[in-house]
Amino acid sequence: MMYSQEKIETVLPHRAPFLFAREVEVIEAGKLGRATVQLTAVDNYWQGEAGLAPQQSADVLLLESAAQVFGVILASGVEAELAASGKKPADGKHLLLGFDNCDIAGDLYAQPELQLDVALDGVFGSMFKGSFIATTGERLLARGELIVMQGEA
Amino acid sequence: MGAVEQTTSREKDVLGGKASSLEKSWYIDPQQPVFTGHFPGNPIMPGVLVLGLLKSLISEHVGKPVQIAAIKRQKFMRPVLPTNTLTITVGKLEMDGDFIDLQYQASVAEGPVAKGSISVKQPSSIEQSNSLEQSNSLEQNSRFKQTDSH
Repeated sequence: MMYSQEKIETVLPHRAPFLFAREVEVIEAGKLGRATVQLTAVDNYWQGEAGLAPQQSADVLLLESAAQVFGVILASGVEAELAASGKKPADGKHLLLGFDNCDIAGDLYAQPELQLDVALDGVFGSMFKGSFIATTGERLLARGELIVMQGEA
Repeated sequence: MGAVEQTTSREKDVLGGKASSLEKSWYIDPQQPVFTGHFPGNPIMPGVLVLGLLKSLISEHVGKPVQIAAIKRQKFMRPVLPTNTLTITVGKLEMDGDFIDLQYQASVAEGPVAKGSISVKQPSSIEQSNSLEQSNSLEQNSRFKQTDSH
């Protein structure tokens, strides 16, 4: 199932200039998805701090992108479950709680486009633990784990 | 008022001594463009931007841009809101070859907002090849080997 930006905006509260999950292929609802992201082609979202300039923040935006794709995947699971029951799907609002065991390659900045694969690894009450890998071609650029909590921001 | 206003900055014995601390505060301006999209009608500073400001702090200290190379552990405990003053304190900072390993915490007046154990390094030069050999660079750079399990 492909989530276009229009559909993503029905399940995520994020909007430009801080929405990076622009198209997500949900491979297995609620569990697995893939997105292509362009971390160097973003609008200016923060002024006055060199470390947050778009050309210097690919690492940070990669982490945010992984969280957003994870949010879409989780929302797709909620949609699938509730659609089967005939109820209105809940939105995909979630809180980012953290990251663990992440590695990011040194030349991430040089990549115009990369593929982001995100998977659900476990559910602990209202907390969802997932993992991501970022690749370009056959090159592994980043990997890590993330934790979000379903609920209002 | 600037987009980001530094209110305090302190550092002592960082990198050169065993006792180290590095601290800086920012006023979070409600006019920052990010707040139009995160989130409309409910502005919250994205947690990952705390990491961006942490990078800025380290970059200023070492005099060159740095990139996150590894995150052993990163927790976001409380949202940072427009008009908050965000303070980041690096409590432990160690050089290890090209890497800088650090532990930090971030807080606003209401309490802690984030903390983590992170490694940063200077971004490497542009590489053109897509070879599998180069894909091993992530393995070679991995900080997993040098960090404790938790």
